[in-house]
Amino acid sequence: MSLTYLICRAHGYASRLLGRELILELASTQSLQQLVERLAATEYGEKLKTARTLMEMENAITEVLLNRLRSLLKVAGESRGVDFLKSYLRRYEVQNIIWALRMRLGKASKEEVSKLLIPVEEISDVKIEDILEAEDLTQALEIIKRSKAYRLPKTINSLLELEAELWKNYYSRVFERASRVPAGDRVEIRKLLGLEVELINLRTCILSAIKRLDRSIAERMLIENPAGTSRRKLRHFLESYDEKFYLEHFPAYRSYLEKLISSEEPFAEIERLRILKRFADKRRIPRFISFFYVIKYLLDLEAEYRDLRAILISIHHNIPNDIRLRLLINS
Amino acid sequence: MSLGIRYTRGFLLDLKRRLFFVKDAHELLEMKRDQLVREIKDAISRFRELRRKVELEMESLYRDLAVIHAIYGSKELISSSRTLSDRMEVEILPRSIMGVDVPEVRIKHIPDVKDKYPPHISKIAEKASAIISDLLRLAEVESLIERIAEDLKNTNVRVNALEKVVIPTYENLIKQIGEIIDQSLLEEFMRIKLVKRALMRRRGQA
Repeated sequence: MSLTYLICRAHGYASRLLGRELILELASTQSLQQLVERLAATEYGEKLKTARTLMEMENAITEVLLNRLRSLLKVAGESRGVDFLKSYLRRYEVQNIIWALRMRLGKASKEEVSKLLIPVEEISDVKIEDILEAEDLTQALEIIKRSKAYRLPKTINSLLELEAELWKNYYSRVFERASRVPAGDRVEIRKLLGLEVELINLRTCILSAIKRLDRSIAERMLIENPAGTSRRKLRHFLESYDEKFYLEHFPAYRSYLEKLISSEEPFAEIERLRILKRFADKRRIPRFISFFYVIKYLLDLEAEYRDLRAILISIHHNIPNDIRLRLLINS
Repeated sequence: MSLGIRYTRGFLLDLKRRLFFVKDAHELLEMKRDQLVREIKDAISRFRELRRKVELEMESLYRDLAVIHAIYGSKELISSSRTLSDRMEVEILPRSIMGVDVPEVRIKHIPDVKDKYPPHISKIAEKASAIISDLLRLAEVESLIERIAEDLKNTNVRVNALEKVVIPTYENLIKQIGEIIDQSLLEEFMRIKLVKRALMRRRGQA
């Protein structure tokens, strides 16, 4: 199937996303039962019908997200964008590997870990079952290296470093695959990816500047950004400047940086996603047929998934309405 | 209370000795009760202070945890919570306060959480780690109060029993036996006097 068909379908799929008004309405519901009833007429209704516990509800909305991603991949078929799409979606594989390793190294049983993972075999290059065999970090490293899906350095001393290496590998591959996207759409996609990496790197720098992260670890966590501030420059910033410097040099992300500086990291995470979404929403692409819309759809999917999850958990914890709104990307 | 009462002078002396011992015990138990009351008062004020502090800390921790849970999801939270393989070690030793065994919690090892968790979780992990020792202190004081209160209740029952039952019973008994012995002595005296008078009368006739 052609790339044009994929983009058109992405436009179609985007129309099925829950609107901002509905998300806000859901955020003000008082019970999980009410939420399920309100979502009954949507794609989520069927999955949520049988869910009883919070975890089952979370799994239900994850399933809807995965079904949507699978549909998109199916439509992508053998088109030019499929390689990039698969690489982009491998963030769920990285997430799975990280969860599996944390649990296994914390002596959790394989069954416990399996229950936690997101089933994304279609886009995975690493067999997660193999990783479940790992008893310690060395074994885990061996298994990941053997899969040849990730290039890891010889020495990795902690899980945190391994996580950083996996993300570095992920972004390097996504940038590399982005170069195979049609030339006209490449620039926008690289800008979006660059922004994503920039925000992640800035978080690492700020955490180091406010002494919440060891500088040597922070240096190793920095991700190479071909479409933003380079790792070399950020290393120099890390060595020489305090947190105020970042506020002056990156005024566009001031709200994000301020939240990080005031140790409100969870809210900074929401701000990061809002910045990305705002960036994607504000792009005025003159053509209707642009691959950027596929990526924008993925971003919107992720935002909807996270918003619904945040609402579910907020209701479960009885978080006040004003705080609930601060937890939403689509607020 | 079966004492095998005998109305003899020997038994009376024995009873008086016992009463002296019981009064001593009563005094000691009263002292113990007063000391336990002081200990429990101290412990309760410490408990209130600590509990207020822990409640505030827990409230703030729970609020933060709820927000992190909502933003990152259950899976991230569950997997992060398993990251630390190091376990906390505590030793519970018995300590005696006025003969009451109370537990004393000694923290042998608290795992270092710094740089062990992903950055977004580390702050809450550090917060939780700091609360754990306060929680243990709170449990220790709570257990101390429970045990002292239990012992205080028993001591009170004993003191009251001695004060209201045992000592009055002994005193009554001593009084009763003393009266009976006095009466029998008087009877004996009268009897001897009558016998003596009869003997004298008989000698006079002879």
